[in-house]
Order: sequence, then structure tokens, then C-alpha cells
Amino acid sequence: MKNNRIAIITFFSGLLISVVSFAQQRFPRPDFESDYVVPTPLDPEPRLASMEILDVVILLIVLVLTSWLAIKKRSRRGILYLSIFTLIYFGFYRNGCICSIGAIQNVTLTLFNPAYAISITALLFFVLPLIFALFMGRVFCGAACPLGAIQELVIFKPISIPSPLNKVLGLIPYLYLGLSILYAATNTDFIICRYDPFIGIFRMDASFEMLILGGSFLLLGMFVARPYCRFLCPYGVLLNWMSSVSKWHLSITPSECVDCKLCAHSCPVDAINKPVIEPVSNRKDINKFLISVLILPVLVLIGGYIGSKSHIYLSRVNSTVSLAELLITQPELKNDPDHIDVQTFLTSGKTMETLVEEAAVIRSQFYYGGWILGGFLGLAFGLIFTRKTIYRNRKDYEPDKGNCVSCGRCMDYCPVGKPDFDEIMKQIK
Amino acid sequence: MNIQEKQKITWRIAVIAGIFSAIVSIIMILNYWQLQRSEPLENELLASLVEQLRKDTGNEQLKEDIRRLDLMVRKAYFTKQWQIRAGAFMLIGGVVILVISLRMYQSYSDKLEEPGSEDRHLGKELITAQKWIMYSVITIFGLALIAAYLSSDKLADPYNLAGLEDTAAESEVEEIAIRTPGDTDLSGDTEGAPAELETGEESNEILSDGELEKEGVEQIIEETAAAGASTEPETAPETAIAESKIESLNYGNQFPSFRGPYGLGLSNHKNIPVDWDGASGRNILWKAEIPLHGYNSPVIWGDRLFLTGADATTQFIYCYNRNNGKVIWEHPVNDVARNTSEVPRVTDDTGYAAPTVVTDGVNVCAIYATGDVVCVDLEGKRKWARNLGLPDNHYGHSSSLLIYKGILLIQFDTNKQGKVLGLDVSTGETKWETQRESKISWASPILADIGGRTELILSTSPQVAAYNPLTGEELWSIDCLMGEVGPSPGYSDGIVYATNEYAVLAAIKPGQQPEILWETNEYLPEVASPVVDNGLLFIGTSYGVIVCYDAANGEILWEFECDDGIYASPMIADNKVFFLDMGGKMHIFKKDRSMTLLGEPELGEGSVSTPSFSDGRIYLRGYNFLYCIGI
Repeated sequence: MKNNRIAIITFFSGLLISVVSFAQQRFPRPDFESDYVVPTPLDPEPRLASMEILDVVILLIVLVLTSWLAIKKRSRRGILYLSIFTLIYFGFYRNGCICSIGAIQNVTLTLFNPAYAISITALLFFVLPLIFALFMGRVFCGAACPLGAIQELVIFKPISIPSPLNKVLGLIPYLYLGLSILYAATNTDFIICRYDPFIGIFRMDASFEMLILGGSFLLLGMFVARPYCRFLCPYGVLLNWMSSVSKWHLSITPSECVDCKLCAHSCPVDAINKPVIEPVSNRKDINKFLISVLILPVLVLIGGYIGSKSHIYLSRVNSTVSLAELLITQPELKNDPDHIDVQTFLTSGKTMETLVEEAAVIRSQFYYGGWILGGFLGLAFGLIFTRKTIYRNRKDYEPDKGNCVSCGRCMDYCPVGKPDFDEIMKQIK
Repeated sequence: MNIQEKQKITWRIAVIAGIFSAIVSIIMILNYWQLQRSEPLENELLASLVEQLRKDTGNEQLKEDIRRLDLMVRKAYFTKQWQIRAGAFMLIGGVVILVISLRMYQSYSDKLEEPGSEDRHLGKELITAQKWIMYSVITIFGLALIAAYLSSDKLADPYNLAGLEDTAAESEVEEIAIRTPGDTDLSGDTEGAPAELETGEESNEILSDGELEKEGVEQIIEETAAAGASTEPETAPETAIAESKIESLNYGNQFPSFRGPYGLGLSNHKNIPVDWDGASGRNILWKAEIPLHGYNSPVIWGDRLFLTGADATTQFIYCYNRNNGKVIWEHPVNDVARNTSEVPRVTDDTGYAAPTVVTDGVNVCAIYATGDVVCVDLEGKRKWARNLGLPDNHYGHSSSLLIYKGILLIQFDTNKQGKVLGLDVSTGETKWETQRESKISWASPILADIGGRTELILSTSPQVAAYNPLTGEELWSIDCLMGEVGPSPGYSDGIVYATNEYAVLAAIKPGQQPEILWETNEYLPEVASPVVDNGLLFIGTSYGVIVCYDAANGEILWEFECDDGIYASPMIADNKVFFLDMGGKMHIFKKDRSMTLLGEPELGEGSVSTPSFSDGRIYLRGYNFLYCIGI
């Protein structure tokens, strides 16, 4: 029966894949008589719609498999092999694009720009990992993210970062998320893609600085596990929120924790919450909590105000604004034939007045966006602080649902459920 | 093989793989740097050979050399690219082996950790975390706020928008062009010129007010020059972007006011001659006697040249055919009602007709030392005339006129009071009048497009001030001058330059709070106005020194001494700077940071009037004659 089921699944999977193989290039390239090969202007090249669907299906399969391996099968090795597959397929074969992290910007742009229509692929890449995180935890980070996979593979001797520092560095993804949404919403730039440190490695082609950055991240990742995931990834913020309320999540122990402490230092990303014994909250602690809650709206307003005031320098990333300011401060650049941006503008037929008007409109968008960004950051930082005022008693070693990347390393450390252990425990009892 | 041996082997493999990866990385980095320096498109040798080929297009050997070098450079470039790519694969291979061997080494050397004791009371840790989070948030917000306050919004301050003069001026000129009757294009230099000549001659008979068709024009016309004069090439508006900003003013081929369009001292005309001799007549196309004396400069619209002459009892506007020097019409201005019969006080070096006329292609306006302002059409027919009152001016009124969007702009600073007026050019009615707290001035106003807004800028003692030419509202002013101000302001790239002898030469950044960027008092003009273009500021002093300053900081780039003082304002045209000294010698320099004297042709008579230009022509007014110079 089981074999029949597997056979049926394999047959239909093969059928699906073989259907795709009948797909043809709608506009094939010309054939040259010489052996000239037309270079590809785009990297990665545009994908057939059917192949994009295949990517989504593979993502779904990987997410399902990771969930099964992490929660049911509890196989660290399986997760590792799956992450290698993800690295090869989504990383090197698909050149790191499309990815769920960058899809934040696609979704943002489609919400704010009526002229932009997001592809179903991008939308699914954005939504599927979040849905899985809502129920299964951050299984996307475990084995479905190529950026996480490459960092996972280079972990050598992970060191434990002091918790306060960990918390502080954990604020950066919120800032990055806010900025990436702001820049995408104003049609300025996709900064997540632009500053992806590993994309150059996947494509084996990037600017010198980005290659050095990627290499540095990998070198750092040998000792500080998954630095991009923990301290930069903006998608991780969303996954953290979803995963925090996940119903089924990877657990260290398959049944009851025996407090053997073997897993205490097993997590490379310091995502294990240790048992805590705290006295009952006293008045002082309750006051602290209440004050931090009451301060939240104030933080939102302060953050929003600062964000709005920051609109001038934030908007300078926008090419229209920066060009307008450049021509204002250095009008002599109009005579510089080597300045491509200026010469392009001069030959465009657009007047300086129009350029300045457009730049002013964009800058005003940044003003309102700055309010939202600052308010969001104020709220996020305030909530993080408020969380730290809450003392939670805990008797077992548990993965922090929000921060755990479902890599499964901790599962190997837990002796519970291992054949020898159960035998030994029986004998002890 | 036991575990220790496996450990050793995996460690050695890891070390070798690590060293291999490190070496490959270093080689790739070096290769990459070399690749950056050897861009085929930026190869200097190749570029210089291509430049040589441009001058020597038939050189086959040179072409062959270029092809060979190009092939070599491209081969080297793509070979390096291939090497980098191959290196990348090797690096990936090395890193993969390194990672695998390290993981295997780790699995062999994994030891069971001693659990030890742990602090189960995390209160202290939480408090530390709270503090760190609080400090971090304060730091992030604090830095953001500081950065926000240190950033200035360059888009908001219109005075920063120095590059907008090109667009605003274009649209204004189009308005003027549309209103021009009879002209089919901005240039006026069409092959219809002979027809216009006929029209002009007819209008002499038609015109009332006793115009006389005056003979007595001394003509020195070369047949070819005359034929060429009627079909002068239009200036391509897209030329000379690298040479000056004057192209942006786009008055086509007109020279409508004192010191050219907007009074800035810039002309967009080309092929200006640098050699002539008034005495022998070399390159003097024609020379016409001017019936009445005046120091004003010629003004050109189409084929018509306008100037005025006056004495104690008579005032005239003259219209010449600029192609042959014939008088088309003369318009007397002797019947303007005044509130006094007093004759104005003037000195010999100012006279009764110092201010230059202005035209917008429809109207020609003039003002005299008597305070009479008159407007005629291009055929010389009077439209209106009025008297502003006898100027209390001990040298004689000399501020020239400007027209902006149908408003005749008059700087009327006298010993009694200073004021600036805007009259409706069609009717002469006062549209606005602004009193100024200023002393008397002999400077002329200029119009400058600053931050998308056209401003009327006036120099006097003590202040340089700007007004809205449509409403007369004062926009800004700054005290920086003293004495009897003769030179008009200069303007370029958002900066106003004001000067006067025994005072300063100052560069002023206009704005709601104008500031002086730099000032110097080394060489200062008494009468000639400064001209600025492309970061170069030129002045001519009344003691015969010509100076080129760096407009950005006031540094003297070069200076030149001539035998006579300079009263005529310098003009920039055709990438040259023209200084006419009082002896009638024109000192022509290349408009450059280093001094290159292109010529010193002589007029044959003295002059203090500022030159006017059209393509291939200079028009100079001597004390007695009007000259047209060309090749």
C-alpha cells in the first residue's frame, strides 16, 4: 500500500516534470552560421512561466520535507542534505533569484505602485514560507533558504554571543526591513537584492566589493553562525512573528526534557531558552512592564517624528533626487561629457524644472514614509523592550520559537528517544 | 584507521584546502585589479591613436595599428576574465573541500560537553538586555535625528537652483518671438532680408512726425559680404554648451539690450572676427555717421539696429539697417511733456543719451538724461512717451533699460531718491514702482534666472538688491558697495557679482539671507561691468588693466595691461572675451583660465560703448561713427 502510494506520487511528479520539458522558447534566438554565441544580457535570464511554477512546487516540496524532517522525523542529517539541495538549486542553479527575502520588495511595490503587477511566483515565494512558519516554525530558514544554507554549511566553531549583544544586533533586521519597504514603496531601489552578500557567489559574478562582503560573511559565519540570518535578514522579522505563534514547532526533546543540559550550548544561533526559575513578579517588575507599555505610543510618535525628519537624507538614495541635487549643487557638471547620468538627463528633453519637481514629489513621499518607518521602528523596539520586562518561568530547554531556524542541530544532542538512553533510563528507574 | 588518524587526515586536507583557497583568492583579487585597469574602452594609447586618426583619416598604417592594438587589448581583457572565472570554480572547489574536511574533522573531534552548572536566575541578564536595548534605541534615533538636522534640503531653497536659467529663459523668449510682427522666426536673418529693406524704406515715407530719409551714409560694402549678410547662418542652439551658459538664454540671433540678453554680457553669436582695421577699412563692412552724439550701445533685432543720440535740445532714436548701414528711420523725441523746462546737468563723459535702448521685437524703448521715456514700434511709429521727472543726477542718467514679459524695467536712482519702476511696455502706464533706500547709481539692471525665478538685480551704494520684475517686490538685498557705482552686476551659476572702484569686487550668494562668498579689492572697475561665464570673471579697469578672476574664489588667473583705460563693458561671444579700450583698440582674449591674446584690432577712433554682436559681425559705436565689422 505504501509502495503503491509512493509509486503514484513518483509517477505524477515525473509526468509534471516531463510536461515542462515540452515547453519551448517562444522567441528563439537566431542561429548564426559561425559558432558565435549570443551573450545573455540578463543574469539570470528570464524564466519560462512553467519553470517558474516548477520553482514554486520545488519550494513547496522543500518546505514540506523540512517540516517533516524537523518535527516528525527529527533528522538533522536530512535537513542538512535538503539544505545542500536548496543551495544547489535555488542558489547556484537559479542564481539566487527569485528568493523569498527579496519578494518583500515585490509585494511592497505592488501595493504602492498600481503600474506594477507582481508575478504569482513572487507572491507565492513571499507567502508560502510565512504560512509554514505560522504552523511549523521557521522551516524555511532550516533548509529552504539558499542564503541560510550556504551559511549553515560553513559553520565551524560557533561561538556564543552574549545575550544582550545578541538582542541589540537583533534590532538591525527591523531597521533593514523598514528601509527596504520604504525604498521599494517609493520605487527607489530593491536594496535587499542590491546588497545581498551571497548573490555574487551564486552567480559567480559581482562587483569586487560585494564579493568581498560575501566572503567576509562566510568567513565570519564560520565562527558566528548565520550572521546574515540573525543580524540582517529582513524576512526573518516576518518569520519571527509568524513562528512565535506556531502550533507545531521543532522541539529539542521528542518527549519530556530530562534537564541533562547536553543541549545547552548546542544551538549555533543561541536560540535555546534555558529553564528559568524566577520569583513571582513583584510590584517593581509590574510597574516596569506597565511603564514600557504606556511608553509605546510615545515611542511610536518619537520614532515617526525622527523618521519624517530623516526624509532628506533617506531620499538621496533615489536617483531622481540625487541627480536633481547634484545638478543644483554642481551645475558645471552639465558641461562634463563623461558624466553619464547628467548627459542622459540633458539629452532626455526633460527640463531642470521638471526634474526638480519630480524630485520634490519623491522627497515628500519619503516624508510620509519616514513617519511610517519611524513609527514602526519605535513600536518594534518598544515591544522588544517590553518583552524583556516579562519574566517567564520555564522548566525545560526549549527552542525560542521566534529565533530558532529549525536547523535541527539541537535534536542530535538530546539523548531522549535514543535507543541506548531509553534502556539506561529504564535500568535507572 | 582509528579516529585520531582520521582526524589528522581530515585536518591536513582542511589545511591544504584552506591554503589553496586563500592563494586562489589572492590571485583572483590581483587579477581583478588588473582587469579594472585594463578596460579596452579606456585604454589611453588606443584613445590617442584614434584621436590621431581623426586628424589623419587616410592613414592606413595607423588604422592597421589601431586594429592590432585593439585586438590585443581585448584579448588580454577577455583572457583575464576567463582566468577569473576559472579561478572562481577552483575557489569553489577548494572551499567545498575545506568545508567538508572541516566538518568531518569536527565530527571526529566532537566531545561530549560537561554540562556544568548554569545560572537559572536570569533577572540580571534581562536587566542588562533592557539597558542595552534602551541605549541602542537612543543611539539609533539620536544619530538619525542628528543626520536629519545636518541635512539641508537643496530642493526647497530656490536660490540653490542655479541650473534652471536655461529652461525659464527659453519659455520667455518664445513669448517675445510670437509677438514679433512680420518676423517668421527668432533669428530674423532670413533670405527675406532684402524684402525687409524695401519695407523699411517704404516706412520712412509713410511715417509721420517728420522722419527724413537721410543720405550721407558712407558705405564700404563688399559684394560678397552684402550677399552673405542677408543669409547669415542661424546659430544652432545646441552648440557652445561646453563654452558658455549663454546658449540657455536663447534669444536666437537678437541682441536686444545693453550687454546683450538680460544685460549679462554674453552673446551666443558665432564666427566673430578678431581682426580689422578702422583706418584702412580692412574688414569694416560699413561705417555710418551718427547724427547725434551718445554713448549708448547698439541694439539689434533682426536686421534692425537701434541706438539713440541727443544733445541739450534734441533727442532721437535711430534705426539702421545692420546689413548696409543705411538709416531706415529716425524718430525724434522732442515733444514729451515735462514738468520742468530745466535742462539736465550732464558731463562730457556721460552726455544726454548714455542709456542704451531696449527692444523686445515689437517695441523699442529709450530713456534720456531728461527723464523722457519713449516707446516706438519697429517701424519707428510712436506708441507712447512720458517723462519720469528730471533726474537729479550730477553726471547724467545712464542706467539702461530692460524689458521682461511686457514690462519695461527702469532703474531710476538719483541724488534725491532711488527707485525702480516697471511700466507696461505697450502703454507706458506704471505697473509698479518700488522705492529704494539707496544712493545714486549709474549702473544698469540685469535679469538673472535664480532658482527658476527671474530676478531683477540692481547695483548701487550701499546695496545690491533683487526685485521681482513682475511686481517690484524686493526679494533680497545685501550691503557691500560704496561710492558712485558705475558697473552693473554680473551673474553666473547662481552667484551675483557686484563691484565698484574704491569699494570691492564681491561674489554674492543670493537668497533670503544673501551672503558674500568672497570679495577682493585688488583690481576694480570704475565704469565697465564685470562679465562672468563658466567659472571665469572678467573685468576691465579705467586705468587699463584687464583681469581674469576665478569666479569661485576670486583668485586672479591672469591680468593684462593696455595703454588706454576701459569704459566699455567687456563682452563674451564665440568663446572669446572682448575688451574695447577708450582709444578704440579691441583686446580679444580666449575665454580661458590662461591668457591667450587673439588680437588687438583698432577701430580708428575712440569709443566707450559696449560692442554688440550678430553672427559673424561686431557692431561698434565710436564717438562719431557706427561700424559694422565682419569678414
